[in-house]
Amino acid sequence: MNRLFALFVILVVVATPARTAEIPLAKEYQNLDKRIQILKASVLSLGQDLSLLDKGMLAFSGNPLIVYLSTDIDDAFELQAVELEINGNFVARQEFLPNTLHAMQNGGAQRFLVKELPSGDYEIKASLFGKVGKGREHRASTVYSFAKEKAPKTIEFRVSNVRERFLPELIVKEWD
Amino acid sequence: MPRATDWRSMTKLVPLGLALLFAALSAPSRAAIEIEWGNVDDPRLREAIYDLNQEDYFAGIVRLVTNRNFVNLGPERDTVDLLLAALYLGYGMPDSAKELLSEQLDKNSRTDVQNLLWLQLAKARYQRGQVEDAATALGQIRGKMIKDSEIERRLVYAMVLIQQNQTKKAAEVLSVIDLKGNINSTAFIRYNLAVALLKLNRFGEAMEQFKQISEMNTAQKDLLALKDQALIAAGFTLLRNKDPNQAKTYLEQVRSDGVLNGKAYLGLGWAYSMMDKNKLAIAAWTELEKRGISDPTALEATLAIPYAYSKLQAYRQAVTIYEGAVTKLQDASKTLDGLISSVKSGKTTDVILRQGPMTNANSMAEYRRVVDAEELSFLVPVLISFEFQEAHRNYLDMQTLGKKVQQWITALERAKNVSPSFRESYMGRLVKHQTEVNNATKDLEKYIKRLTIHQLNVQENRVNNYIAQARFSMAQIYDQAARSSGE
Repeated sequence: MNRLFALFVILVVVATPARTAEIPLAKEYQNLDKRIQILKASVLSLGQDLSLLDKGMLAFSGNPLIVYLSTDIDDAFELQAVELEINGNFVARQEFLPNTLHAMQNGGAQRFLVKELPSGDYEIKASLFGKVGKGREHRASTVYSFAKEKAPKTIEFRVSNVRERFLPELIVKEWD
Repeated sequence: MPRATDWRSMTKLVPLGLALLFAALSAPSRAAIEIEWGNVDDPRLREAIYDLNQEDYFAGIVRLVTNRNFVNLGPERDTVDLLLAALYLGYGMPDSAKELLSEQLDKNSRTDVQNLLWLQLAKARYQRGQVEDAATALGQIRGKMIKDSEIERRLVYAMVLIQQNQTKKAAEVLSVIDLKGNINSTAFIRYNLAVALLKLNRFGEAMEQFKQISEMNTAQKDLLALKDQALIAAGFTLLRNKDPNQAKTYLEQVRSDGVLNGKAYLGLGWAYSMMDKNKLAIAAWTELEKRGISDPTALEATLAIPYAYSKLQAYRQAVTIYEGAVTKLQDASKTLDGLISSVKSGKTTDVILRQGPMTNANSMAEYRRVVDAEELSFLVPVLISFEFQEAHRNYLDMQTLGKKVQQWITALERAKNVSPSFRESYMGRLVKHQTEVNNATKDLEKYIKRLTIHQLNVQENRVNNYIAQARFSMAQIYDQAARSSGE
């Protein structure tokens, strides 16, 4: 049961017995809310047009390398950080807060890196840092070679348990 | 004899304890939407799941729509629309969500997810007071949902039917809810069911649910709070049904350190009063009255105590206490006057716009730091209300949107490889949107101000009504004394 919903019901049933009639200024707010919904839709549409101008939207303005990070491990492994190197140069590090970890553990993939790269051959190395069992430090790295052409490149690193080894590793997959 | 002050009318004041329980338990109106998305392969779609989980709706929508336009997402195309619908719901855009969901109706992809989103949409509609639209959304759910969701669906449907005065049909919808399993895992839904049953006057069944919750053995904080809530609901329901003995057994079990103990004292006083144990009633209410007017249940007790004295025929004491009660109530009325002026002048409005809704113990503690305790007790009903939460959320959304538009304006001004016609066209649109966002923000501020004043006026009317009741009761005592001396 979605507990939040359960409480929503408690609230609406107990706190507002005759809901519509009792909401003060209800009609005024409904009109305002409609106007805001239309405005949000309009700004979102503008945002898509202007994504070329937005740094965060670099993914669609050129032909970048986009790296995603995901995990299929629950609390058994305390993922603390992931680092990325390209051709031996450090490019990014992500420390994980409980809420970001939770968002990944629930099926989410985090956009970790968006970087313009000229065409050529590259080697990307991802390293994970965390704790297993009763706080034992664990570190693992994966290296992946790829050819970057004049098109976006999407790579995903997944923190996963490899069955034979029982320790978290980074599994890499390239997407079209 | 003084006229009995009806406890039913007195309990209409939102008691602080009860209010805070709601505040502590209630979720923001647009809490994260929990959906089991199952197997989604493409990380660009799982990024949207990440954004949903992080409640980063604006960025999620922009990214996903852009992905939809630029990337070949193959067989997962329908999932994109469902994810978008979820993001729109999270971002307070049910109309856009509905459009997308309607397009999916004739497709059979992820029917379970579609059903969950229709249910979410129905809740969003219901919360906005759009009962007919909520019913329409519920009508789009196909087949039976998984067990807990099916119960949710039935509860929302029953509430919609109750609003439409179709109580018989609502009763039928509720009657098939099958609640098996551990009491702790079904406690919240049992409580909702009990409240809905009460609205249908199915007292016996409602009490059975309250009883089961009250017997729950738990150390979990939220369940303990719910248990107190059930005890209070059961106690006051029994009082309404003139069964003070049973009511007392429930009210006595409310935790002494819980936020509802004021409400329990108030109910206990009325239980004793109904049993003609007026000294015990006075003891319970006096305990409560010591808290001062910052606790609305104490405000109610100030009027109940002299009523009990009058029942004991201690009229002189009753009059003295009524006089004291009138002074306290007048103080409360003055506090409310000052608060209304402060809201009108914008001073308190600025505070509540900055602090936001009272949704948990932390936000309550923050408010206590910046608002006087007495004033805060009168602000609580609006701070915990859905209407304020929703309007404030939109207010924050407008602020964020305003900043975003400004960023785009700056970026467009600085952009080098942009044609003059592109720059001119988009700059015009951006400035227009900036004005609209600013206007919407101001209108939300005005709405929140009016909402707060409305709620404070309701409370002031009640306090003034109490003062009138107290004076009327004193007049009755004087009248009786005059008649007695004349006999």
